[in-house]
Amino acid sequence: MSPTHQIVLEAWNAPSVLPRIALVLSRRRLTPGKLEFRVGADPDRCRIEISVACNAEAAHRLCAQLARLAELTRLDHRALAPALHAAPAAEASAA
Amino acid sequence: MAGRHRTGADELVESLLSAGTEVIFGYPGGAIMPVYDALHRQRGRLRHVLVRHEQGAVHNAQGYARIRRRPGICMGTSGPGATNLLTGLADAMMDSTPIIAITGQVSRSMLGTDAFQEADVVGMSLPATKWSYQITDPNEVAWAVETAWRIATEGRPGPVLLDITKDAQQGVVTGTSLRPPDLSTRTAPIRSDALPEQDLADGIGRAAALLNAARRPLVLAGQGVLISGAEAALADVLERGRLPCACTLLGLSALPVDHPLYLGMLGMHGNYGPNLLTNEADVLLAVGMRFDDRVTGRIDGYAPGARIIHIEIDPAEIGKVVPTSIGLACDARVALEALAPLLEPRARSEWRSALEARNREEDRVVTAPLIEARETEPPSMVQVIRKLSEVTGGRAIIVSDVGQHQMHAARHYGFRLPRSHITSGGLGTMGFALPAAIGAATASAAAEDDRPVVAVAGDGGIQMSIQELGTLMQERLPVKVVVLDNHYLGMVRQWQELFFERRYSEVAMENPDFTAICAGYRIPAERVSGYTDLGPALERMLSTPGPYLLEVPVRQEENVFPMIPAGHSVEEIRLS
Repeated sequence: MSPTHQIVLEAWNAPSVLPRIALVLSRRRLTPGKLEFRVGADPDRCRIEISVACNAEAAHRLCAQLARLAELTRLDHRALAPALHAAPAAEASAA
Repeated sequence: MAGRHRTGADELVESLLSAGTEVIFGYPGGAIMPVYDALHRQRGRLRHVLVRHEQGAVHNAQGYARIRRRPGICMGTSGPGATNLLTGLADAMMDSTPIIAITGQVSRSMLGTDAFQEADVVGMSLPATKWSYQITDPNEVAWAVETAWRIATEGRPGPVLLDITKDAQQGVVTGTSLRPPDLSTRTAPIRSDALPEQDLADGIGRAAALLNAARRPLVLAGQGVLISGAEAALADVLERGRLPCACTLLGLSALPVDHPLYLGMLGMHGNYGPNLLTNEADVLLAVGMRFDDRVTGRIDGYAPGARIIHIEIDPAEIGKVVPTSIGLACDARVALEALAPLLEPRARSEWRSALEARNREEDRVVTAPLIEARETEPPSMVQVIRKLSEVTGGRAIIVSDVGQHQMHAARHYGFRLPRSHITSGGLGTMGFALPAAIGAATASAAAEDDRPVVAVAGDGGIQMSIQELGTLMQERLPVKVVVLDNHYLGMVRQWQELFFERRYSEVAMENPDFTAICAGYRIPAERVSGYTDLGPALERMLSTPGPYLLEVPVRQEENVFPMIPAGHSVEEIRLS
């Protein structure tokens, strides 16, 4: 059962930011449980919250890749408790 | 420019000049014409090299950037002009080459309408660039160029793309502040459970302790050494610690081949000693390299007994492929200069003897038969490269294409000066050598560097970009082109021989008369008649001013060994 990782990015609000994040997830074959894009009071800045179930190594690689984003101003990552929904049914029954 | 307003196109040219641009490699077309008009107004201040295909422009820029150590600038129009740049951008991304690609785009009002020559090049380029940005307002231009230059060069270098709409090129710069973001400002550090903060001084101290205690250490030097200008620092580390060193393909020339601690090249077709004995090393010090699969072979069989110290400026590379004992995300030169004074000299003569003995075995089994003169046969590729090394004194800038000749050039050219080897390492782009050599020669001329520039290509690769002979003709650059012609796509044929039971599927090539093609381009050329003619022909090539092409028919079924078969461990390296 993979733990859930919560990654919060703050970045300059440029049109290519969201596609770049999506491409990083896609290239790692990760589908997020949550991907929230929000622009606050300052329209030049955005906040992206991702939660994704993966092992620590995949989370490391994901954060390292996201940290390459030129528009990034901040990245916070926390490993949360294992996600109850993470294991596919077949895997769960085999276990 | 008295009496006229400054347009976005003028601003682009001025901004590039202010940043330090000497030359643009490009090809005009409809959506970039205002910029070409601005270039015409600035002729004499900013050189432009007119290529024959946009892919040539981006490879020109790569060759230029690798020699000049500043971003190479390439330019094309919208649609196909822009998409033709993408292979080179992907290549530059893999090989950490700073490129600024500028593409024209349809006017803002037509974006997304499937207008003539409209392509979403920003979207397409995202995975192949560090940053891609569409300029839609002339007031953004100066900021965008400055930001592009900084992003292309800082940290791990790489390509960026600026896509500029036609109305932004034609619009007048008003000086109205757009409050563009300062992308250099990170308001808070990266905080991650997965990316622990590092203490550089502590890491260097622990690395020195590991190396001082090592019985079988091996240093792996990559292109990061060359990018950071750490060649002297690397030599200092090796000499103080008496540490043997091997280079990756892109790290070649970081250390002169006659350095007593140099062991050769790592990788699939690298030298026998360092590859085989990687798995006996107890400490690996990897500097400015990324543990490419061509270097590691099968990863679960790689360096099982080694503790790995990884110095690499891109934090994303540390721990990506191999687990590290000490990962230091910093500039190679900074780290090596800090490490050197902490190292203690240890002879480790048994370990060095073992490494050297393996290389001697390779010389006896693999190289000796290929350098033996056989009057009845064409020269081997190894003979050609060794002769080229001899007649140039190992001082040339070698720009190789992709395939067997690339591996022979890497292995058998005796590099004596830093930044002497340019090739497409990560992406393996055939057709790279000729245009990259044109870019390298342009950089050499600008830097008053008198080293000869020699493109080494196979008969397959040269035909992927042969139209760039037109660029060479027009620019009259002293690029020497050596075509090793075996009438095969040699590396694919070798794999078919070794792994597909000699079923040669679509690898035999009927070739044109390359000297006749050169005659059409008014470029001097000749075909070597045999081994005895090789040396004199190379001398004639080097002594002829301007460009020159030497076609060398070589043995048809020569293989490249040693070889680590794909999917195998480094210790399964084969000598035959």
